[in-house]
Amino acid sequence: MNEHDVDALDRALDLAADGGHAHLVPSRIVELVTLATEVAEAITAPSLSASDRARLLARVERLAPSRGARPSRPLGVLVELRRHPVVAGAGGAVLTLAAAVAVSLLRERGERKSDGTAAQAA
Amino acid sequence: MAHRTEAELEAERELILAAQRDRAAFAPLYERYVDQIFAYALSLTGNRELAEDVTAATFARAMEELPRFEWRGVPYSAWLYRVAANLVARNKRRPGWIELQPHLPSEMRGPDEEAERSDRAAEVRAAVAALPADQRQAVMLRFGGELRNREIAEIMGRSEGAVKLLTFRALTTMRHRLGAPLPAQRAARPAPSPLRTASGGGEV
Repeated sequence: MNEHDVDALDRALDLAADGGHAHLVPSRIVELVTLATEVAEAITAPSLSASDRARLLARVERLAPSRGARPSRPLGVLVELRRHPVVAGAGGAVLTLAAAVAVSLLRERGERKSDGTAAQAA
Repeated sequence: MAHRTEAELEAERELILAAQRDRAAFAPLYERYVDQIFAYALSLTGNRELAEDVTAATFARAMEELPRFEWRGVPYSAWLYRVAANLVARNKRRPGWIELQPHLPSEMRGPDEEAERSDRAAEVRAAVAALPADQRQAVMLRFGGELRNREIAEIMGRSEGAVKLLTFRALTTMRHRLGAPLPAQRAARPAPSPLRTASGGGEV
């Protein structure tokens, strides 16, 4: 391998991808370009069935929030939801409840404090 | 492995604008790229279920970000690949992430006359799966995603020179492993553009 080969391959791949012509390309580079064509065909062969695609799209639509809503769930939560839907769902509900209780307690404490401050000021 | 033409990029920009106006118009973008993103996610995770999770999360993020998406004249897939790569990278650091041996999907065996080509395609996918992770990623993005070096470099966080080198090393390794392309491949499906050889003087 040498730097010239790296550049020659890169140029030949770009030209092939743009539908152009390359002249005086060494045969070893031509072989690699041909192999690249094979690779492209092999790795872009559809691997999802029509039903897989539809199922995934439905999942995407469930995950994507409507405009202005909270951001979508991180991947870790998705994995947990798939593996343990009931546990993860229940866990989410508990966390939401805990957060609501915490907010209400904090709000109550804030109100008491402001009442005390108002009383002191009076 | 064809780069997008200006007309194709313009058509894609129109699709994105339509989807920004009406989320229902997102479906063509999903259909265009879901296989590519899934194959890429599979190459990164080596696990079909995780690859589906990554694919779903990537497109959900795409839908969510669509109103704020700004067209920069590069294929929309470059953005999708970057999101997928980030999701995988971030979650690989989580405990419990199990990385299996990379496994690219093998297609169903066709009729007898397709058997040789099908076997070869499976061999090619196995050779891609056996590459080191960074070479595999470069190959998936360049030949699976039809992206240019600068777009791949941005996704991988590497220089364009590094991407060129990774591609060269990947193809050289696969050439040693796989041998020459099938004669049928050379005859029936030539490279998109003819390349005249220096030593052989032939055309591909």
